[in-house]
Amino acid sequence: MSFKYVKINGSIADEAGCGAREGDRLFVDTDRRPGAGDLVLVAAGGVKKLRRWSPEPGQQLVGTVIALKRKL
Amino acid sequence: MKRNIVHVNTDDFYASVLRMRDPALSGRPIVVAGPSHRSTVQSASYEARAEGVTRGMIASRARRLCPGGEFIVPDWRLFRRVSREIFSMLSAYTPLLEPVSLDECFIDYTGCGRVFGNVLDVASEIRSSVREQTGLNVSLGIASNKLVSHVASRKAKRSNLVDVSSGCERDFVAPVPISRFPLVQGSSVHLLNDLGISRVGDILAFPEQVFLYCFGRWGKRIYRGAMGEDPSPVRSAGPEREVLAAERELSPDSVDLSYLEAVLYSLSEKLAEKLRERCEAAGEVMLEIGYTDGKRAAGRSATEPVSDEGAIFSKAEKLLGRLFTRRVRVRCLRLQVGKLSPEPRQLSLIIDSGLADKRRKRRLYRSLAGLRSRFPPGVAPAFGRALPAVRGGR
Repeated sequence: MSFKYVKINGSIADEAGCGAREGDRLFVDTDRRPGAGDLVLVAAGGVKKLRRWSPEPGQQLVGTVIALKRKL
Repeated sequence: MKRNIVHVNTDDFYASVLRMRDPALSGRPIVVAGPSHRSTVQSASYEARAEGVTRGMIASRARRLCPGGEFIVPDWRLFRRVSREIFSMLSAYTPLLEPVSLDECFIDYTGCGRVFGNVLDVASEIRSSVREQTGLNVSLGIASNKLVSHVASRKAKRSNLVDVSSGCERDFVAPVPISRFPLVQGSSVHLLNDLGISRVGDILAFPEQVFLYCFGRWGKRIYRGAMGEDPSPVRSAGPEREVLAAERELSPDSVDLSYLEAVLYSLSEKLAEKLRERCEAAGEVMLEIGYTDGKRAAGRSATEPVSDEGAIFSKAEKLLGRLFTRRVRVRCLRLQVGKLSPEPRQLSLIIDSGLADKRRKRRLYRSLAGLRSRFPPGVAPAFGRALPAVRGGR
């Protein structure tokens, strides 16, 4: 397992409707193979997106989102 | 439906409450401990912890580590009042609130999203209302079960929120050091370290059957916990369960069992007196032993409702026999009675052949209590059992 934190800035789109917003940090497992419906961070055309996993061409999987951390 | 369990943890609760009471304490290391240099630290602020002070440490040692710290006697009434205020605010969102301690609780937010909205948004609202009304900060951990939400709130710390994605609970807990896992405490950490387990994920290198065989039910719970599973429900608290407590700090510390029993008897007398004043009986006796090295041992025993010192001591003595198993001197004894109920006045339907004896003893205890209230200790008559405690330690 390999984890890293990814900070959400303006260039990450939340297509999964998970409530993530700018300033949040994602705890991402870059080794885990996502199952259908898992929350994942993908890169497509230089833009990072949060979405529910389903294999699609033209996207690069950054990792599976294990947790979200937000400063209250 | 996927569960939505939230663990709410008030940041630096005791120090923050004391700072609210006295703003001059802001920024200073605070150590909450009894007045004696031999008392134990109940809580330490972040600043004091940075200097090495930990909960359970002897106050004299804490003073050496943190000479600039403010040592303050705990104000439990204030702490309980603030705690009740916070829990009352949280229970506006869900009836399922389970207090863990004065500064932590679980709430079950499952299904409440339809009424109050997304839990992430509500978390910000909770934080704001607690801050506005009490001046305290909270951290929140959100997950599909209690165990993982507890781990999440520990990672959150200092006004943060951590929300664990559903299905990722096992991966989330895997890198957690075993000493920080809620199910593992005290000497169990060393036991697991000896097995080569330093992180929670290491547990899964063993087959589950081996863990179950070696550690029984606890092993099964730990194993399932390492998989991120915890089916336990959030149990809402009933009316606050009151306990009466009496405590004695020994001077000097002692391993003399007969002396410890004498102290226990005098504590039983105090509690019996309180129960008589309140016309109540207790259905549970609890004992906590504090050793010189800072370790503690605690146990409890249910009983039919009792209000006299003989009956309380009988249970306490058995608990002492069960708990006092180490060859280390005892520093303090704390005896509590709980599950209080009004003292039964109606006669039992079951013919009790010892009833006359019980009535005689009760009259004797009441007479002795009356004498003790009129004369100082050492002068008033006492049971021989309690005399070593009345005269002082050895």
